[in-house]
Amino acid sequence: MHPIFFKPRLRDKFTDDLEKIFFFNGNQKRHLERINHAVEKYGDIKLYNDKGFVKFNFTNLTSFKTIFSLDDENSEKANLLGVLIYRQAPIDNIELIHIAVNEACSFGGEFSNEEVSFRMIEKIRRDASKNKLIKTITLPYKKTELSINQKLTKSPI
Amino acid sequence: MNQQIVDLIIQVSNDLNEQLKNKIEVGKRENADLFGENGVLDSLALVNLVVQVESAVEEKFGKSIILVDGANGNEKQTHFATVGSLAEYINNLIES
Repeated sequence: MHPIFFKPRLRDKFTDDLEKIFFFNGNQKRHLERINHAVEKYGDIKLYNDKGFVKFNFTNLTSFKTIFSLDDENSEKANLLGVLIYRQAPIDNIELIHIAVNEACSFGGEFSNEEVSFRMIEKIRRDASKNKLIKTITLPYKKTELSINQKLTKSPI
Repeated sequence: MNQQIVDLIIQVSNDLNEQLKNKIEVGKRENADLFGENGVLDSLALVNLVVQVESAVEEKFGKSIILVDGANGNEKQTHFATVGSLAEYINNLIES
């Protein structure tokens, strides 16, 4: 497997790639339901530029965090693999709001074996587990809950 | 034990099907497609299935397992292809 690099912010040069992954995903049928679900719950979603970085805006959601996964540490050479939006709500839980991955990570794609979704969630879980207040993570849509101590991958991400 | 594991995966799949437009064809039992070329699950649905199956296995068999390798894994994740291949993989993990 290839290393994946996680970033809390994304350079605006990736705006088109992020739009494509988020709004025009090739797995559109499944993805569209989830986008609609997110819009129903958190309001309209827009991308905007903030001092050279591309950011999300939700009409009804003010406090959330984003993690982006890239295939290279150097953002000049990197491809955007995925994005995960999440928040701490209530205080002892991380709620995953939306996750979208590059079509190349789908079956048959260049990164189909990279388990990008699992690795992004595992990254959030590991970081959140350092906060003693947080006990659980809820996955988007199905609301499956896992303990903060439940590892998602055997080896390092 | 394998049939017990198949039953467990089917049970989780039934639950997951309530949220899926493309349902897992649980009537096909071991041959029901999950993830891959003919699969009905996308990566997020697979995450849900994996988390629930891992919890159910621990509850039923008292063994904590992790089904996904992560960055150091080299093998192809073909064990997610069908209910049967996943059951066999879990069986091997439990017995190892």
